[in-house]
Amino acid sequence: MLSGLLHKDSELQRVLFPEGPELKVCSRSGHIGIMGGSASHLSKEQLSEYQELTFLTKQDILHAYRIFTELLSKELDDFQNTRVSKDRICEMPELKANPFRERICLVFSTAAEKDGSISFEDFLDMLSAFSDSATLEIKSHYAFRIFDFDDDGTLDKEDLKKLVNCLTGGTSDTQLSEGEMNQLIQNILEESDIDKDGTVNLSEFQHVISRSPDFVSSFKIVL
Amino acid sequence: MTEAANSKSSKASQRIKNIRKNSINRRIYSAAYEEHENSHSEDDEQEDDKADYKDPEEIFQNIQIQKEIISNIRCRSWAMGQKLKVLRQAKEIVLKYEGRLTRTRGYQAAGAEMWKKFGRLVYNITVLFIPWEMRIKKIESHFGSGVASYFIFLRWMFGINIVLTIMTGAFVILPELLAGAPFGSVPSKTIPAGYVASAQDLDTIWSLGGYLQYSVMFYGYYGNDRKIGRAGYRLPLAYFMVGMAVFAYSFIILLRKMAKNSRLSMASTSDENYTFCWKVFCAWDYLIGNPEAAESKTAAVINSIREAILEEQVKKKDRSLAMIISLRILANILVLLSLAGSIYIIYFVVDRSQELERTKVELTLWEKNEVSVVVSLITMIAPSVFELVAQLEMLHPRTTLRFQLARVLVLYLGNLYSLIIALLDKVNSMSMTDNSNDTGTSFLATRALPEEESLSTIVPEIRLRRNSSFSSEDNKTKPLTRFNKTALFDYNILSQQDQCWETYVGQEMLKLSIIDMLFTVGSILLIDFIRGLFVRYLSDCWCWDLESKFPEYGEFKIAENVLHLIYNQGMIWMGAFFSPCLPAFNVLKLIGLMYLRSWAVLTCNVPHQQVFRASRSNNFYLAMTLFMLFLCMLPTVFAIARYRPSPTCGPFSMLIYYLQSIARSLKFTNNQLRIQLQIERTEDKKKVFQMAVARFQHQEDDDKKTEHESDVASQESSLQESSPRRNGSVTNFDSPLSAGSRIQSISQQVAHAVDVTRVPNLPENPSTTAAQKHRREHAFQRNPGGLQGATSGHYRGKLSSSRVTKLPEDIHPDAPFRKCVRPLHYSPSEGTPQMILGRRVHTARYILVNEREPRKRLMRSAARIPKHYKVDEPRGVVEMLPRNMKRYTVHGAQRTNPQLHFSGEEEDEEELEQGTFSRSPRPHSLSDLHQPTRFYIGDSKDSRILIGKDLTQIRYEYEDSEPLRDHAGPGSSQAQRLGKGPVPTNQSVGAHVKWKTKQKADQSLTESDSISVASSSDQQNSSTDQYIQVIHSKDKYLKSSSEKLSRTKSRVSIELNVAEANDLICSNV
Repeated sequence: MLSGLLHKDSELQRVLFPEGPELKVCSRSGHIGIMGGSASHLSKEQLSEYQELTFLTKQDILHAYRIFTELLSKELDDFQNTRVSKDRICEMPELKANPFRERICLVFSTAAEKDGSISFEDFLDMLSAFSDSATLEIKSHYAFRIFDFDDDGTLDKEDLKKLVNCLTGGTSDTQLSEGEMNQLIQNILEESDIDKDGTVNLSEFQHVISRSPDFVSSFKIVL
Repeated sequence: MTEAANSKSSKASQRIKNIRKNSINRRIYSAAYEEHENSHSEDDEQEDDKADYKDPEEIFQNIQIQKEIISNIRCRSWAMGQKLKVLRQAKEIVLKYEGRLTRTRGYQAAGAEMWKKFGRLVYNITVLFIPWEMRIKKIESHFGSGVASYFIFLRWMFGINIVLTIMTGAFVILPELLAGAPFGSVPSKTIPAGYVASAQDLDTIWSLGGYLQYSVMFYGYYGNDRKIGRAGYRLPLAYFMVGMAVFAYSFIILLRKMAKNSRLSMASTSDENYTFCWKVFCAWDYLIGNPEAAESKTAAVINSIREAILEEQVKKKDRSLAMIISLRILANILVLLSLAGSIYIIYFVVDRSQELERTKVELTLWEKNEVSVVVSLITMIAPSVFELVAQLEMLHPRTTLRFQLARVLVLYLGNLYSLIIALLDKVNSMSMTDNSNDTGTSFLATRALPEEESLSTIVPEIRLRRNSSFSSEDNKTKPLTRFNKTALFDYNILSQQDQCWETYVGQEMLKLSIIDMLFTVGSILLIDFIRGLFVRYLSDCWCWDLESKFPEYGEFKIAENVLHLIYNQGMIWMGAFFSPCLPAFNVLKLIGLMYLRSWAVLTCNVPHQQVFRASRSNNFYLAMTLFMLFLCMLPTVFAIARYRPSPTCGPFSMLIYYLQSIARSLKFTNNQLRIQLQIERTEDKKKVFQMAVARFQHQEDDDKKTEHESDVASQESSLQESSPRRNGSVTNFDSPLSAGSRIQSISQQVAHAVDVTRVPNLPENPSTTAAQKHRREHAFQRNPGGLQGATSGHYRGKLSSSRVTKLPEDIHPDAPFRKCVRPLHYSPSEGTPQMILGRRVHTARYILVNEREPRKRLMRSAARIPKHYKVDEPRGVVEMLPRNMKRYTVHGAQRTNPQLHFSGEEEDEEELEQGTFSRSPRPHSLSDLHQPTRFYIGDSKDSRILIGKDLTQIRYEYEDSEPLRDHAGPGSSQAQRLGKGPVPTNQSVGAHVKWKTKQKADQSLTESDSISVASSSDQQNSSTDQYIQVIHSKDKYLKSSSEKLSRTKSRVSIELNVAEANDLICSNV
């Protein structure tokens, strides 16, 4: 649903540029500039814009650009529409060992077909959220979306079960037994479910997370 | 649903902002801001709203809002495309409307933009310059934030040490190198002759001796010149300030960091509230990229979850509690034992090294480094022992880790503390042995005689001698006439090395740091690398799985490594004052450690099973560091405050005496006040006495006068005679040893006390003639001469030593002095109890006579000596008998006026010198007493020796009555004959007084033997005071009189030495 919102382009266009045709033209041309103008490398304006929009430094962005072109293994010309498949992203060494790698791709992907493929801007978004200086709010927001396996805006029992299974790995000997799982989920809900609706919503989640001493330092990915 | 959540959160934040914002602007606000959230419903209206803003204020508000959007946009959790659009739109609005505003605002905006860009640039650059950023990130991405936190901490420590290095380097080391006296120019910067040959041996260098010991690396090398260079850089001050600044800076930076950290984790105070949520939601460390690390992390997560579940389930169940408790008790006992053992071993080793140094000439490499090696070994082995022991306890892993950390911290602290305590102990005993050596040889003081000769010819050499002249051993073994430079330097070996305990402590600390580094490197290579290689390549052909069973790969134990870092830093803090280069060394060490550790972690370590919580631990590390800093500061500050700076080396060889004297003078003024009160109370009483005795004394006065005139002349000549000798004695007492000489003084005191005690025992000898008296007078005059010499030696040398050591010559007349001194022995014999009384009277009279006689020259020469003692005496008075003094005051007060007439200039000088002392009537009187009669001088010396509470009574008697002993032997009648001064009524008062004090004097005399030893410390103290004050008088004296060549000669050389110290003292006192 979120991605639905995000990609209602025509609607957004109306929202964002209500001033009239003049402005629209202006921004259009800017947009075109991004898409086509600097095909092989980032222009200065883009760099500065990305710096303003993310928590990354110039070096980080250039580094990300390099890595992304490597993943893409071809010229990167459209920062929004040229995409790398989910599998390739998950092969990255930084994500390879991460049990949530697929979820991460899905959350950050803006692809209309929801295949988890990542464009360069998505990539920057991801790195920004996982960067050192990102705020707790951003981090917890994305963490919530990562854990929200069915994208319904709350963490219900199924989500929690999947989450725990992801953490404990796929093999049967490491997975928790049914009883353990139930006990665990019950305890989690007892602790965090403030409004007692049987699910954890974003604000509850953020409340819990913000009290954790090391969430911010562990919710990081460094290229 | 996500959308809903999304808008929910942003709305919440918005609401807050709305409240904050002016509600008038609500319309604009919503137009510009909310549109992206709830776009669908409000589009059209918004378009209208936005059509135009006529009101400039409104426009401005709008622009502000847009700017806020721009600056906060990165904190929105939107996709990039959306953010881009919003950003561009906001920028457009800003651009479009900003033109309508005033020009200044436009400029402001432009400036702000520029500033922002500049800030970003600076940020980019600073990121570029953060050392090891990439390396740490690489480690982070492999092993997670826990391991990285160690390296971040290491980097932070590195930063601190850089600053400390800059501080010490810029303010202490560089000035010393550039402007300080060059190497080899002064004894404290010269390698002793005996060591030059071996100064470059690897062995010596390794133990930080030789050239290293006499380099800027250590405290001892720094000169005590108050100012160095053309700019007059105050090195000692800078040294002290930097020493303190090291601690201050560390404290400030630590506390700031801690405050920042705690602000960051402010919310995370409640600990166990969300155990399960955290275990699930925050379990994964997204940084982990290494599959192995991920595996162990997974295992750790599962473990922790299972444990939590188990804990929940088994909360009520208790398994064989008794067993566990007994096991834990056992474990704790074991830990305590090993702690005590390690402390004992360290103490033992230091003790042993001390023993070895004393007994053996050549130390092997092992013996030299034993201490540091043992300490390092303990720090390496004991943590593993603790870990083994901890397995007995069967605690929760986290609790285990905490216990482990606490124990290791205690161990490290115990090590450092036992080491420093043992070292200080050694320092203590070093100075003790110094003292005993000196006492043993103190009566070799006769060597002074040959020295005199050489000295008179080689005046410039005096400076060199300063450090060496005290050499007792040299003198024993070598012919005195061949007392040449080499001999001097030979002595340096003995005196200097032993004395510079600061350098010694610095050496030990640096040594410890070096050995610790070697051990760290060794353990990394051996325990991590070799083991890793072994496990990796031999596991295929081994009978069990090496990788998962016994040796495994080395674990990277974050907490223990962090503790080791803290321990290492603790050593630096402890030793930085004594070895200014220690922070610089630590910088190098940390750089090396950074590379080696990161390499080892990446190649041959697996992360610790229980990953130490990174961010919470941050403040935990810092708290431990703070704790360490505090505890490391204590012994250093204690050592600085408690122990005397070495007198021969380092920037503070003078300072402490000054401090002590200040403290003492404060105490003195306090006492003085009290005494003054008493004096005033007794004033009336005295007057009554005066009246009574006036008649009795009247007859005696006339006789004395004639006698005395002849005396004066002879005395003067004798004074001059003795002057060359004084020079000789000066050389004798140049010696820097203060401690040693003190002990000397004790023994001498005893000896002298014996002499003195004879006085009451001996029968009266009425037959003593005037001639005899003459002779005695000469003798006494010599004493003053000797004293004078001592005084000058005093100025020059380091302290009390000179004055006191002078005595042996009088007591054991081995040499030319003998003749002159002999009378001194006689003199007591003549005195009888009754005679003392009689003499008392005489004394008083005698003084008067002198006063009346306007012999300025005589006065002057004599006055010099009094100056020397004057300062001291008031103090002695204070400590001692107030009663006696009161009596004197009466005399003094009355006499003061005539006295002033005679020697106005001197008086003035003295007034200045005495400062606070002389304000009160009593000190005045004392000084007056001294000035006119040189006899007192000699006597006063004696009296000083007898210092002791009870003896003080005697003291005053002596001062006055000693000369009289000679005259008065026959009795009061003789005395009358001799002294003819027109005696005013006060004389008789004096007599009365004597009668009273006499008994006391007798008692105290007998006691003197035992007391003198006890009082020696007092004397030392007084001498310190005196030292400083003497310098003043000395200076003035130099200015005022330069008649006597022989004296001035020596003084010139003295002046050089004294000048700076004098400066210091003058300005401060």
